[in-house]
Amino acid sequence: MARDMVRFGVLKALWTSFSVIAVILVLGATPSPAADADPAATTAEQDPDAGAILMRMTRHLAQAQQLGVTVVSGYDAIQENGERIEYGERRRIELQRPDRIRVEVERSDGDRGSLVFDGKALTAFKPEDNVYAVVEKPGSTDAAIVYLVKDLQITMPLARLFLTTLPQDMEKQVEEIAYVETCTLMDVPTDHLAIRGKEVDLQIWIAQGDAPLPRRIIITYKDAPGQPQFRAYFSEWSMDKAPAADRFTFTPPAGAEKVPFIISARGSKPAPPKEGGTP
Amino acid sequence: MTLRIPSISLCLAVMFLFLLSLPGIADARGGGRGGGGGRGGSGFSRSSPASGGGFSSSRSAGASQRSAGVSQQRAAGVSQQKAAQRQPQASTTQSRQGQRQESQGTRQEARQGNQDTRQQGRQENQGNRQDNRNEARDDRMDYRDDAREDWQDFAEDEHWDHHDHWDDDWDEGEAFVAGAVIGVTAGAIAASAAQPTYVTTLPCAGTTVIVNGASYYQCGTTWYSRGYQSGTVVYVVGSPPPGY
Repeated sequence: MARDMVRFGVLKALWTSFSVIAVILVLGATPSPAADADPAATTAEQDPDAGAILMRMTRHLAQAQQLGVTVVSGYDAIQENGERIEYGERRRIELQRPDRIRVEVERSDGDRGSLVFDGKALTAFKPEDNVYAVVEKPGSTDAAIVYLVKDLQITMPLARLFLTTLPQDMEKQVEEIAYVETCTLMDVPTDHLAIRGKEVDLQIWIAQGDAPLPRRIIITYKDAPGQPQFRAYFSEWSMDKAPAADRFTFTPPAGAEKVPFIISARGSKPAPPKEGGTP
Repeated sequence: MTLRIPSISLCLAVMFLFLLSLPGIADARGGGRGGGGGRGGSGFSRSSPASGGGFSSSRSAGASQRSAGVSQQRAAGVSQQKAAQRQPQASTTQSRQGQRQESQGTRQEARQGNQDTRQQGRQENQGNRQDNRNEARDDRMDYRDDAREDWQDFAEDEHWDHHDHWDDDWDEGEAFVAGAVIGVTAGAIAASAAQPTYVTTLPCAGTTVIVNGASYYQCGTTWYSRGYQSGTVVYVVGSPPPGY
């Protein structure tokens, strides 16, 4: 009652002075029930092991002698009008270290393709066109993946997950890491981690237990217009059984035409200058 | 019994709301298509810095170290490859190859007739492929963009993946692009320069000829053969097939 009267008096004074500053001061001085809420309960203090969980996953992947996984992924394509459209693909990746790779891709529009590395040569095949391209590139799976992406300009989402250098890569990238929760929605309980990097934010769900494998990942490109995301589910992990040897050899189908790999010289073009002096 | 009536009415209400919203959805779709303007079937662009799933999105481009040094292996093994391809055309039973040969026949007939017929035959035979091509145009750009980002990433060790792709002029699908050849070359491309140019979409509905198992496409006086680029098939400017 007394407070109401005080408020009334203050309001009256404001009416006469029309001072905006005074309004702010008064409102600030009014006791607010929300202002004293203690946020400490939700800080990252209970997750000292988030980093350990992440690194354990990276070592598990990096040290695997063989692995197979199906990655169903989607990403946001921000349209010129700002509309967010998702496109996706399903990709089966099989790796036999030190030097065998097979990748099969089907894009959300049905476009298919495959890649085979047999330790000596990389073959890319397009079944719809019945064409394939081969390049000799003896070396390790790491070298082949880097060559694939860097030199042949072939997209391989999450390529770095499949390098033996993943633990070091990951360490370099992480600026902050936090444990979000134990997620119970998948077939196994997973540790949900939130990672902040310089240019991307990363959420990853890692299976608890003896096989700390990623089950889900979300990458947010926070600096890109519209902050698009890349999202992927990992399934059908197989780490124990080596894929059949013929998975890593390519036999051209009847009538297949061998064509060269072409890379775009435009790729070396520097990015266009930004308009309006934006950094 | 007492529960049933409310749940039925709830169901009806939900269905009613759903029906109400349908015209809205249809409208939105129509609008989207209409406004597209030649960027693939749906009018939407697949291009995105997120499409490569890279672990960084650095915008510092500065990767000029790529174009050189890619053509060392190209001359090797041409003859071997040609031999492998030198199967009689007739034995090709793969559907696509088959279609192409058929369409070739149609076209050669039509060549004596009028141009309309030829175009017609071409469209019938290759309509599907053309569609795919058009649709794939944006995608190809995407692939290229993504890939570029990725290799830049690899080039710059501090970045896991590189995502700088807002290079809109790349979306001109029929523009000629300078490229480089990697690996074994054959046919038209073997005879072309070390830096061939290519298109992601053939600029016309031209003639297709298959010689020694290699497909050649003619538009005007320009001949193309196929290449594999960033996950898609492109058409590389080259010399005419032997005998043309």
